[in-house]
Amino acid sequence: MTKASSPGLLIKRYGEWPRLYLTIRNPSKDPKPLRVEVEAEEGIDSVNIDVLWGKVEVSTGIADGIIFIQGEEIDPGKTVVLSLTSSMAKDIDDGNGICLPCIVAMTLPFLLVIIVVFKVLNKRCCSRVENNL
Amino acid sequence: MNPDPDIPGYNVWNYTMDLMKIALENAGKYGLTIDGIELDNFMGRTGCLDLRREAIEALDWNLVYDPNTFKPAVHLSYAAVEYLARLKMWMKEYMPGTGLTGNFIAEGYTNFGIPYLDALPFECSHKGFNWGDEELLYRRVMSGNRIAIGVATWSIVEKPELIEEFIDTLLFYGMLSVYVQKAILNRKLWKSTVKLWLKLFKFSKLYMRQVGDR
Repeated sequence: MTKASSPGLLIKRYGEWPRLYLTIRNPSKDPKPLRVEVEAEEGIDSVNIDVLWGKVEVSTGIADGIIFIQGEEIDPGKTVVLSLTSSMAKDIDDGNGICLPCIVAMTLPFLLVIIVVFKVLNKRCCSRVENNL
Repeated sequence: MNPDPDIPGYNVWNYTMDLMKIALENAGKYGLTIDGIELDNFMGRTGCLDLRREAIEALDWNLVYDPNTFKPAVHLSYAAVEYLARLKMWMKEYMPGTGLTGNFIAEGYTNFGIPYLDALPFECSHKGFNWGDEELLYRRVMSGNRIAIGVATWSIVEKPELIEEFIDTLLFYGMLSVYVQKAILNRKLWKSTVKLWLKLFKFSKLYMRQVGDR
């Protein structure tokens, strides 16, 4: 069970490695700096972090099996949603629904066919014009 | 009212079927598709006992007793579970691929019926109606991996400045937010909060995808 803590802030953990979601809320009446510690699963030596909700800049590091997340202050009553992805999950869809390599792989053959057809037609057309001249 | 489908005579189940027949016919007439059924509210009136003989005879689950008279009785939550099981089976056959939800405002005995729901929407407001850590945690736990949605009641809708706090609070518990139905047509309200809802819509796409993956 991965544990996560965040002094002075409320925190909930969703999902499981290789991708975790953290919802962090400031229940107090004063702004609080974002400081979160998350237990890393064995074998995880680096993580990517994305802010899915909330206006906050965050940075992350890992040492002795603990992931440290630091960020700007969270305003009172605000929630921040973070996504933590371990380095073991490189093939996970990044969530925005666009896979650039897939798009290139799907469109490249069509582009090649169009170029070849264009070249062939262009050559024929040019040869006719030359013959007419 | 006892929703047990086996109660003799014209009962809640017969009424449901009549209603669904009209709804499906109407939808077909206009080329529409019904994508699910929502029960409003969900088991909110089933915290009662039915002492009638026909209710006891119709029940397939355990009986309880009236603590004042020690007479055998039907707890309506059991009758509701029978209704839900029948409805779910009916939907599987006649409305395949659709979902069953209910306005999850009641607590405790509703737990027996929750497994039959595909998502858990519930009306709530910052004024204390289904609000606060205990209430939201309870609904989060009961939702499990299913989608949970807080429906902003009129008290929130009247104060658009509180909508952001409403959405933020529910997000902390892994829940999405929507307006009550009558607020959806309020153009002025939409104008003042449209940016926020668009932001939430973008986030919701990711949320739905993650829930669907489980």
